[in-house]
Amino acid sequence: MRLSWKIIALLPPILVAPLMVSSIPARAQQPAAPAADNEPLDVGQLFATTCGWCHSDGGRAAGKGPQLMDSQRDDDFMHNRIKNGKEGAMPAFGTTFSDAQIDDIVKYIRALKPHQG
Amino acid sequence: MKTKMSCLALPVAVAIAATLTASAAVAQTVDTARIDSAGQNDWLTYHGSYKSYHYSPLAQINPSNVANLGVAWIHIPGRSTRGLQSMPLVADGVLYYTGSYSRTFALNGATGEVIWSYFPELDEALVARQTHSPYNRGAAIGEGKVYVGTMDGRLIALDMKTGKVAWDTKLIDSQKLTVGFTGAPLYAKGTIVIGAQGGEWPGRGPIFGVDAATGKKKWEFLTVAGTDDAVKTWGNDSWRTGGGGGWMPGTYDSETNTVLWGTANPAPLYDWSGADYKTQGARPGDNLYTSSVIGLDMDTGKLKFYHQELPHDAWDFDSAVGEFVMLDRDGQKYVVHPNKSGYIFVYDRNLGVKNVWRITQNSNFVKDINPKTGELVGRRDFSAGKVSEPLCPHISGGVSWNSGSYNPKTGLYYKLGQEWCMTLEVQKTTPIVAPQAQLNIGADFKIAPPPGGEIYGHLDARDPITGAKKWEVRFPEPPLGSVLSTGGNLVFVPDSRGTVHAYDADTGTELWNHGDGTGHQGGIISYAVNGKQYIAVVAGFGGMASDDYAPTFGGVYKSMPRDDGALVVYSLK
Repeated sequence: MRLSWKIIALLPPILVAPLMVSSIPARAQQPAAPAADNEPLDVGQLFATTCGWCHSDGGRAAGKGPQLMDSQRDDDFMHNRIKNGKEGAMPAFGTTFSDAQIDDIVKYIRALKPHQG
Repeated sequence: MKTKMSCLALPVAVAIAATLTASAAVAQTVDTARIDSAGQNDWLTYHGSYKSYHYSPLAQINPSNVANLGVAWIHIPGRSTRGLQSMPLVADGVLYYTGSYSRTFALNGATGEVIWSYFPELDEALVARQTHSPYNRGAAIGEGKVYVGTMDGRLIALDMKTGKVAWDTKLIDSQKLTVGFTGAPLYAKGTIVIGAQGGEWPGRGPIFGVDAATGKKKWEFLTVAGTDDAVKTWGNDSWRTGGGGGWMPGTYDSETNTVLWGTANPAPLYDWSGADYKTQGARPGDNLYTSSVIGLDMDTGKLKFYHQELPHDAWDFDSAVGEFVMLDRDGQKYVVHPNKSGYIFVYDRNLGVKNVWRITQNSNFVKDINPKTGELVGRRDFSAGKVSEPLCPHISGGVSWNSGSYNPKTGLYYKLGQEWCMTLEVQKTTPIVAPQAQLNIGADFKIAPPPGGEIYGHLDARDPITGAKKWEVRFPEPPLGSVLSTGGNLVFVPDSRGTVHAYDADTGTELWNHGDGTGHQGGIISYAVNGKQYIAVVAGFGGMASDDYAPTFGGVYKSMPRDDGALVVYSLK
């Protein structure tokens, strides 16, 4: 559960409040174990769980969002768009990921290649 | 749970009252009996009435004069991020509707004059983090109030006459879960029922019953492992990965005092279990009560009966979409409910399966569904890696979350089908048991045409019980809005390109069309004020399904705004 623990550790305190305002079984509220700060972000898995909803084929094709592979946007633009989002189009991930992790996401995008075969 | 009374209304919230003009009808109480009887001139709940026909008995507009239909008035709600997706309501000549950010309006149904408006102050930082946001799909009315959910987890009641806040109840910790309410609530028997978003997130998909008078929560049903029996259907405590929810409104059966509601898919959407999904993969087991239709006691929220349309849904074809069409035939009482997959389930009133038929041409997630038992036959359960044959239908479904229409005069069910598929590479991911970076999909995917063909949509006129087709009209891109049929023997379809079509209900012959200037993906209704019939439709594109249209189809979609919208109301010239 490397990814989820890592991300939970980065959430501000308000985000680790009880799961529901109303009562639910206690086992649903088991806290996530924190991960080491230097643990790398598994960006491939992040695409398979979240980013790929809009950036089709793992970022290799346009979908609800633009194709990311071979993007002409510069790194600063990508970093800021991931961090701050775009109203009605791209969620803001600035409270979920650190700047260093967002840089990891940008590096992953830069390395995207077409599927073989 | 926190309840705020009207005197503590949010400081930035705007509630502007004006005097109802004389053209509107005399206001009467909207209660359960009135919604049950589905009055001639009104549209009192999301699905029209509890019967959920999306049908108006009004016949002033009919094939002989529909050519004279023109725009009566337009209302611009503003800030229509991801377009307009809601279903207007009408009571006693006043039209109520919602837009993005839960903006709520009361308008004179004859003129469009604003009677009041209410813009809730939302947690904008939270909304900016959300993927399935900030659209709102409608309100409920009853007991002198208008009820609307918000993206930051609240249910708000507004005075129908003034728009002032009567109560404001926090139901979900949206800061934690990152989800809220986009679907319309349901009013019945002094209770407001509303379901949360849930399918792609690690919550337990609650559906709430709230006291209409006070805003106090009466009950809560968890669609993920909500009973001891259901917990056993999530191997390895995988219920913690969650999903479920009930993000579209169901209905109320007054004869049995039952809430009928559809639930969303489990998370992750795509599993790597392979064929042995009962013991392997991300969430071993059937995953109750996801992708199910459930019957809850209105007074207690206790589960009375259910049918899981897709046990261990591994394709994101949830049951949260789809109206519950309640009709009688030959002494039998039926409930017809479309599943997102494009299979249409026919039940008795206790959700016992009576028949299953399919509206889509292109479907391969299962070979079939047994029409007698509802059992899935030849299901495709994927392993990690690239899926060789495209999955049909596409993740946007064989049917939209918008509604079809049953016309009791023709006995036909008018429903839109969607023909599209997707390529898929399933990823084995680590369990996500607490909210993090939004979603939990479990695959990389891309939209694709059906094998040997093109993507298209179709309006079908079918027998709702047998599925026998009388006629079909095709569209080059799947229409995403709701369908309206009327006592005037007309069927109205607002399409994705932005055109509203009127068809002869018996033959499917197109009799009229008109451009609204942008795509449709919301509701369409009919009502009357002072003896004059109106057709009201929301226009405005953008969101989960429609955002795929520009890269997939190009054409008019390339320049179509995804942050604009209008309510357009038609009448005879």
